[in-house]
Amino acid sequence: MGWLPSRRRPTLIRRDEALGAVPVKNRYVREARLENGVVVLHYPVSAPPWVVRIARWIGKDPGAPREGRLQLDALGTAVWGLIDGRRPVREIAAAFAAAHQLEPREAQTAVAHFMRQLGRRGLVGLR
Amino acid sequence: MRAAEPTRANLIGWKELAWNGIRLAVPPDWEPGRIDARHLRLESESGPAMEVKWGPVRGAFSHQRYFRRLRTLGTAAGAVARCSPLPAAWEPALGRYDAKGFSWAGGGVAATGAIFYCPRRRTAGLIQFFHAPEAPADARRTAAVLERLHLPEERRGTHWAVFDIRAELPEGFRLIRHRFEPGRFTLAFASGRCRVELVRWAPAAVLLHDRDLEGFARSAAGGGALRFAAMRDEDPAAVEGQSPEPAGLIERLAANMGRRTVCRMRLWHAAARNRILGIRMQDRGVIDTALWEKVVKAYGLVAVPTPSDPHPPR
Repeated sequence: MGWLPSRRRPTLIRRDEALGAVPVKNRYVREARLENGVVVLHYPVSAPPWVVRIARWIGKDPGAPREGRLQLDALGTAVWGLIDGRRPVREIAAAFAAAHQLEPREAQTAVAHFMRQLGRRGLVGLR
Repeated sequence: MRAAEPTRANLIGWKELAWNGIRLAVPPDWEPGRIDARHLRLESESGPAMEVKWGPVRGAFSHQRYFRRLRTLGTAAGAVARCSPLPAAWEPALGRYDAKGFSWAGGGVAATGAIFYCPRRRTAGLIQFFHAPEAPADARRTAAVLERLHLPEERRGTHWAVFDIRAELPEGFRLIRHRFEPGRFTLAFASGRCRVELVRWAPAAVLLHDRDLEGFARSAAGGGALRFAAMRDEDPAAVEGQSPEPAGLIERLAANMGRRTVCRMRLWHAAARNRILGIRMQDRGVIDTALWEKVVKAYGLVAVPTPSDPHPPR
């Protein structure tokens, strides 16, 4: 019986707002393309704050940021290629759906999930 | 004041939706947002658009009882629900049923709906259309949706059409599992010991980039234990796999006694739509060929509505 609004924790961002956000690539991300066409992203990774604190506490230098590496699959590569800093998520999903003949909702879910994954790694920001 | 009849132009691109016996046609910008066995919530980009719940009724039906339940839930959720007359535009569509209107508002959302009961099918349901508290629901659009609402028919196969897949399952098959995740849709049914699983994968061009359909069926589609062969003269390209012959004494004995589980699977590549469709049927003893053919024949992709076809699907 869930047809009435429940007292759930309010979501931070509405769906239409999320779809209207424009993803922007992190300028410190370096792209490399493999022979099979898929993209590998190289990005700086800082040590977690607690590691830095422990390192400092024991008198060690936390060191320079390491390099993270993320190999995208064919679909991830396609979506990454659509991020141009101007198109909102909605348009990226629509272009992705058109290119692969996907259902609009399916494409939106896939693109939104992918953006979340990239966002968690700091590879894209939303504006 | 009566709302104007929906015109042909208003119905361009409407989509067919059939789920667990219920059938309706919805505007092109509404997409299924939540799907349960007897519950559908459709959403547009701005949020929930429509919700329908239905189920069989045992014993006497009372609108009041359902409404009291709705009001209790509404109060708990911070919404105020009240009985209201059915919108005039809905009367032709809901006249077939014993229907009473209601509305509620709360938390920045409002909805207008109806609790309906069909004595012939002994099925009751609730349908509601969401809208902003300050703006009423679009009477013309909602009336057009209600006009095309059909409740489950008894002693008939069940029709399914959701997102881009459609299927027809013979009487007796019930939905046991469904999953819609990007790239893979699954509907699983059971009737006794017979299990039928319908799967749709996309985009096929990417999935078949480094392997053929048979390779895909063995690896990604879970047909590793089956013996596959390409189906000749099939358009679109298809492969079919079956459980291997029984090996060993115990398996042969089990097969002779009809205790061995057998499986048949077919995958085909709908290249024009960039999708792969698959059916897996599992049963004890033997697979019923007539049933298999019936399910295979009815499973496919929903036709894409074109501007030259202004009618919503019937």
